[in-house]
Amino acid sequence: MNDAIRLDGVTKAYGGTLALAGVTLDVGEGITGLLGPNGAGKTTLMRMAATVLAPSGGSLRLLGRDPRDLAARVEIRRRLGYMPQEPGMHRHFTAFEFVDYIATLKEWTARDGRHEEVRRVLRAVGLGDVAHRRIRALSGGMRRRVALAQAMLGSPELLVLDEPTAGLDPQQRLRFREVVSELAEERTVLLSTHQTEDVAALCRRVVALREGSVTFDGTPRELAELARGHVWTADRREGAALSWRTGDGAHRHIGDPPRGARLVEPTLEDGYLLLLGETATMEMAA
Amino acid sequence: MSADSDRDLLAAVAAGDRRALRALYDRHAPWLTLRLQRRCGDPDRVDDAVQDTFLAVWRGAARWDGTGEVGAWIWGIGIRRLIDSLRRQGPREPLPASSAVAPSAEEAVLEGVEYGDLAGTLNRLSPELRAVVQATILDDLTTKEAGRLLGIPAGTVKTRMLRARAQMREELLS
Amino acid sequence: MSVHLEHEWLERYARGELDQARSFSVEAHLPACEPCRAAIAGLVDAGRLSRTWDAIDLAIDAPVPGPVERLLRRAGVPEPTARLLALTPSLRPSWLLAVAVVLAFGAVAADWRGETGLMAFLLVAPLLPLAGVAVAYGPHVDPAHEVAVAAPAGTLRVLLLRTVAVVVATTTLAAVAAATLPGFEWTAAAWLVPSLGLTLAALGLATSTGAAAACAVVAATWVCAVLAAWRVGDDPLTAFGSFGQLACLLAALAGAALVIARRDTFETRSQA
Repeated sequence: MNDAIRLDGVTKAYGGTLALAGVTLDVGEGITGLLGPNGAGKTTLMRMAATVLAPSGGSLRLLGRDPRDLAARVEIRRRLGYMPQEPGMHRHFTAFEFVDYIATLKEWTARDGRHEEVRRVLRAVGLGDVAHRRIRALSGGMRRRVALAQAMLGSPELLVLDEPTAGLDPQQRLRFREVVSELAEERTVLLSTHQTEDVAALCRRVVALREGSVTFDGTPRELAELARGHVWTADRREGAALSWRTGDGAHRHIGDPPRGARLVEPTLEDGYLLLLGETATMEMAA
Repeated sequence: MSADSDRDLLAAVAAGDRRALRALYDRHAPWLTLRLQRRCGDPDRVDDAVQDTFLAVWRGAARWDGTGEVGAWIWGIGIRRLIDSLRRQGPREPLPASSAVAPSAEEAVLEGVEYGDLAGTLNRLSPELRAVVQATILDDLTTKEAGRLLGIPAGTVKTRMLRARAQMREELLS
Repeated sequence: MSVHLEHEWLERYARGELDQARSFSVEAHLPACEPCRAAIAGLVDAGRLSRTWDAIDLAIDAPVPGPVERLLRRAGVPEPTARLLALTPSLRPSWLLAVAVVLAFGAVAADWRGETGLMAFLLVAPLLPLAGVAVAYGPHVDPAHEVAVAAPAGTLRVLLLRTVAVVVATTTLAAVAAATLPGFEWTAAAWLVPSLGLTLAALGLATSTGAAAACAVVAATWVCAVLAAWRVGDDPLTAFGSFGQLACLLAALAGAALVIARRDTFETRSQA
């Protein structure tokens, strides 16, 4: 097996709390989506996959190497692109300068080749025309794309993208999907998100985390299928734990059928909500 | 092609719009390249001068005073960048002034019809004198700049200009 | 302009085959005439024009090196290293200017106030590189630190690189200031070992607390130690005697040992 990310019983403890409670997971080629509510351990797992965080226990292998070993870690980092959840940036840098700075840290030593590469990634995310602008003058969506561009430097084998679509408008999200789906050929992309639409649109495989454990691992289709036979539409709200009024005035229920309800085709979101169960109910009530 | 005027484009460039710079480049780089090429035989040097010109336009668009044609302003930058580059190169062989071709007999006749005798007079100047006339009159360079462009001392520019003027006057009055 | 150039003229001009007089008219006409410019644009090698544009496009974006970077390049530092160094907050001209001002005040104080003034100078001189190191690199000065950690260059390497540059820059300034001190030959070196000791001790401590906190702790310890030595020894310069120098040397060695032993802590995040 040559999966890019292999976790075996990985735990991570911060003081007394367990952020990851023994995760076993192999992630191979293509785009894998990581779903989970806040505090489920998504970002902890992403940081581990990006070599930024070391596990407290269990075994972690990235690109066939052990990140605990210094030389191996450098090798992994040479083949890795990482977009953190809240990518900080030097706001007085231009977009080009910022990506160029990261490229320098990524060992692009020859200036001309480095500049060509920086230009390539900025064009790939559609920022070629504003590369000379200072980051503080860019919109939030553009900054996210700058962060994505730096992760693409050197066309890495492994891309770890932590909530890359947060705060993007629908058009920007579409553009992002185009870029990432193109990237994903012959590469491993681990992408965490809150957006079930991203997963449905992009991912070959979806992993759901809850309270530090994997609660689902399968295709998006399979996640939707979880909810088959549990999603109803009715004229009135009644009974079911999870229900909301949709735009056309009907009530959509997930769970036990209310009276007079009709079964409907489940979506990936239905499956995810069913999986979350209680947590989702609480979040929706909040 | 967009209907924006050169002035509009330059204003957009001053505001940091690089698509406007691209539009200006598409309009002005071709003729600038050809015109500089006629003054310097080294294509790499010409391309560098064109590059420097549009970088100067990018960085200095806000400083354009708004008088005259944008094209003339660009030319003024371009020819001076070329002169700077030639000067950095140090002493060199004067340019072979072979860029202009002698007109055919038929053309010589037509010239008389179209322009009166001026064109014929110009064409009959020796290449060295013609180059000086071109640099000082058409390119609007100072004697010093013309000397740097042509790789000759400023004094020589002056004496050649005097000779050219004398020859043209003689021909036109005779 | 209402009258345009004949296409045949333009073609011959583009090939360099048009006679001088006609070339004059072409050149006088072109800068202001959009239709004729458009006509001649098709006659110039498109590949050549697009190569030139590419160069312009890249030159617009390419960062313009500042004074520090140009100086480093001239000193023979490779371009990427010079770039990483030039982005160090404590190597900015404004920072170095501030260091120079502090040192000048110190030198003046030493000149006026004799031994007490000298002590003030020797107390401050080693703190300057320490302050520079505190803001050289790390999560508190690099907003993109999390991305930087995941890059192969290595946090410790960059930190050490910048530390060396900051220490060299500030100690050079301090040496210049010390050279102006009158009549204290040995003082020229009395702050050198403490500088090294404080910087390395702070780096060693930084393996467990982060650079900023480590520098603060070391600075406070240094100030207390110098003042305490003054009280005990009844001489403002007690801390800079051979015992003090030896202590600083030991602190330097201990710091270096800690950095080497715990270098891994720089390369990952310690907290969530």
